[in-house]
Amino acid sequence: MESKLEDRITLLDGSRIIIESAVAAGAEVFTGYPITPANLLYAYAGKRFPVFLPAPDEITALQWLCGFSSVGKVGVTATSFPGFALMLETLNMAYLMELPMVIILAQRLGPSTGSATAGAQGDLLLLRGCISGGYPIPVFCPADFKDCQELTHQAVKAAIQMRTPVILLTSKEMIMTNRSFDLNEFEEKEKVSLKYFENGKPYKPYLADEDTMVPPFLPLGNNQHQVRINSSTHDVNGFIQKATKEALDNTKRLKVKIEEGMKEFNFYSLNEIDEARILLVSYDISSDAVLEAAKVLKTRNVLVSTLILKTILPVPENILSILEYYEKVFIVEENLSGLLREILFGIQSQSNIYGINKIGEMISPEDIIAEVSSN
Amino acid sequence: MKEESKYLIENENVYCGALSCRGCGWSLLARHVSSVMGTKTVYVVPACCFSIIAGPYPMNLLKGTVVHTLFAAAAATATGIRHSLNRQGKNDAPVVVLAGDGGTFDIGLQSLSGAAARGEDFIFICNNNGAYMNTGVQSSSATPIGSITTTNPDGKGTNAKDLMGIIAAHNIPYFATASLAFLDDLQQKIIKAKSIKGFRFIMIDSPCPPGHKYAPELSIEISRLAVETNYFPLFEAENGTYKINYLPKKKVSVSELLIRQGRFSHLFKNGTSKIIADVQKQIDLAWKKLNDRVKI
Repeated sequence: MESKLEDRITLLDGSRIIIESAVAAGAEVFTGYPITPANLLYAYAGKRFPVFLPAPDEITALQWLCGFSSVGKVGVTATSFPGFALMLETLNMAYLMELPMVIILAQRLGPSTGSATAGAQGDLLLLRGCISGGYPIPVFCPADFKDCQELTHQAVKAAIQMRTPVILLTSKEMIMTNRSFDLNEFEEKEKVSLKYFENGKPYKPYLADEDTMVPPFLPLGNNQHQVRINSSTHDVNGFIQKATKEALDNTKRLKVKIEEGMKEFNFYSLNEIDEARILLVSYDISSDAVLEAAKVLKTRNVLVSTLILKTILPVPENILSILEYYEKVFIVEENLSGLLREILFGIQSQSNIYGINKIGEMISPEDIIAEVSSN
Repeated sequence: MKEESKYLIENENVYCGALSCRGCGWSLLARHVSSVMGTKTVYVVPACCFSIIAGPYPMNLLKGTVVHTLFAAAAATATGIRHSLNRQGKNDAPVVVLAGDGGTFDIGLQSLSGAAARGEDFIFICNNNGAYMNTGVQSSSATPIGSITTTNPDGKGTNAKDLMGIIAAHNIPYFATASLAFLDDLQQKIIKAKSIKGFRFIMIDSPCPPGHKYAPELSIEISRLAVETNYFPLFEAENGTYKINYLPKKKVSVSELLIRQGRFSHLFKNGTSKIIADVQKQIDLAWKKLNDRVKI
């Protein structure tokens, strides 16, 4: 018997959806270390992942994933800023070694230890610069529970397809707060598989496919070809080299690989209102407040369009042309200085670009309405 | 009457509020430590239950100076503070780390080992409750075999790390174990640690009702049983010379200790688990080794 629609409305948090989606997408390993607000992800992962390993620190957690990834098992970990900071060197290693994995970054109030149980959106600029040299790393950010499923799936897919670590950016309220949700909104997803090198030619671990710029993958211990992966600057064979042309070409390829590869992972939600000259832009948990504020403003005859970014980094090119179209743009984010605003518009202030910012508590629709009304 | 009164705190160096759970060992420990160490003490606290317990005003507990530092770095932070105090001629201001087992056994081990190997002049106190209790009872390498945690819902399959063995290998001037059920012994050890220069280490067997799953009023009883069963023997080593501080009058089976804690309850379903017999063997072996060390 088919279940009724109302039978599938339930209370749940984003952590559960993200974990379920990651497992369904084919991620096989979860490594973790306790940190609030990522602990629910850690707890659910222990029940759902085929392989689950509690680490003694965050460096270990991410290094384990590198080990798993290099033998063909794609893994996931979850942390918050203090743990992510410890992971940075390993993240760079995974990026240069071109090892697929997903790191869930649950933002909390900083700086430093900050407030473990207070949400925030304070890590975006860190992500933009987290690979030494400014190389782009894919960052997806769910704005609602449906996104938690979809973007987790896409994060696993992007990691495998581009052979790269991918960040799933979220924050405390998205992953810890229970909300009612209709399970009918979830879609069946196909598992994503890591494809192995099958060409009969000799294998060169970093000789990239000319179209995708992604080197075909072979796991360590495959018994057919030697595989050399390297955290130092290296050539297509994986041999360590200083700043030779061949090695630098390989390093420069990483930038193009991500920029080109991310073109098929461009996710955003644009609600364009005819005649609206104001655009509200946001991401993550603040998106709820933006959408609610837009509804209320409409009742007051203030027409606003809304843009919710879900692929945040690298910034998709078409996003900039959307922004240019509007006379006034309000960037709504839970931090002090406007991190997304700086990424989109730089540090030079512009008279038609406004930041709606707050720390310590979520931005409310009233905060947005007040700011839009006074400008 | 006089014998009993000596357990009372002479110098009350804590405020009346602490944000600990009922039956938690931290606030009792902090009260005794601060009573001996005095108000000149600088306490260094990494991320752990105590960083919350001695946290928000007016529940900030300690009257001394408190530095809330990072999870991985308590011993390194303490090192910097110690050297700077010394350069200012404040050698009489003690530095004390108050850390949990995660910040000692796991993520904090590297900085702890470095400080111990260099012979840094401070006291490191580990309040070992055997898991990451503050973040939801995840296993640490201090979690005992058989214990249920959220990351080992079927019970941990490996033994706790022998941290006292690791500490001993650093050849520091003083290290000891202590229990909140033996406050006189605890107090004497803090007094002794205070009187010695160099790196000093004290491990406390900490009761944790929410994590160990028992009623809060049983905290001291269970702590006492841990000592009586030799599960957590009380000993100290001064310049390499070991001394056992408490000899149980009769042998008590470890099952008496384990059965009182919900985290081990699965070991008693469907008869008695082989793990209990294994734990008993390990305890007996460790006790013999400890006694052998005392004889050397």
